[in-house]
Amino acid sequence: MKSNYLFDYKYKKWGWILVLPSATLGLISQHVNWLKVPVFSFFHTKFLNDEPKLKLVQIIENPILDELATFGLIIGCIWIALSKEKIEDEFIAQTRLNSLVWSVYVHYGLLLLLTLFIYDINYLSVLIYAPFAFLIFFLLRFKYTLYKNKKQIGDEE
Amino acid sequence: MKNNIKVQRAMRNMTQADLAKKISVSRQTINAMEGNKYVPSTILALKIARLFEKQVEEIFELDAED
Repeated sequence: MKSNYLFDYKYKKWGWILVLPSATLGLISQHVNWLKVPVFSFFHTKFLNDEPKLKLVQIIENPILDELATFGLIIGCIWIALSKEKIEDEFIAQTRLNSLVWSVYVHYGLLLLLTLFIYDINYLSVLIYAPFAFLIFFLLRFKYTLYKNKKQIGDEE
Repeated sequence: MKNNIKVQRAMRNMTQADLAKKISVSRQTINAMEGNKYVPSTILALKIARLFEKQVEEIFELDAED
């Protein structure tokens, strides 16, 4: 029970503080163009007279609301799901692992299904939501299992 | 694997919470072990045996599925 690659318990709280505003920000960012700032881009396709032209390593202008939301959501979800529980032990670790396996099946099963039925430009939404969906499935499954275990204790006493 | 943690605990008038605290695990873990839903690691099994002052085999026992 040495290194388990988990964050300290106190990060869990910060995860929630980060996730809720980031999710809101992410939804807003789909409709507005706020916070347009110069950013460093590795490669960027520009359309000149409808001709796509790939530009390497340059500074471009980009609204960064969605980038901020992505950082907040991913780091926040990881802090919530991968911080130690108040009393972390081997059974909790196994519960976490089981939830991880479960969410791999659900996430990629769903992704295959959507790949089968969603096409063209609409598939872009699938790709936008997929990275967050995995963490959210994992989080919900893990928290639900912990909740179920705790409730069972309550029922037996 | 079967175990008689619940019996051992009752003989000593301990609650699940008492036992959990003594061996530094969560109450869920005790509950899951007693319900045969979780097989503890060797370390945890040895800790439980030491606390109850028993041999591991007096508390844990293989069942037909193992």
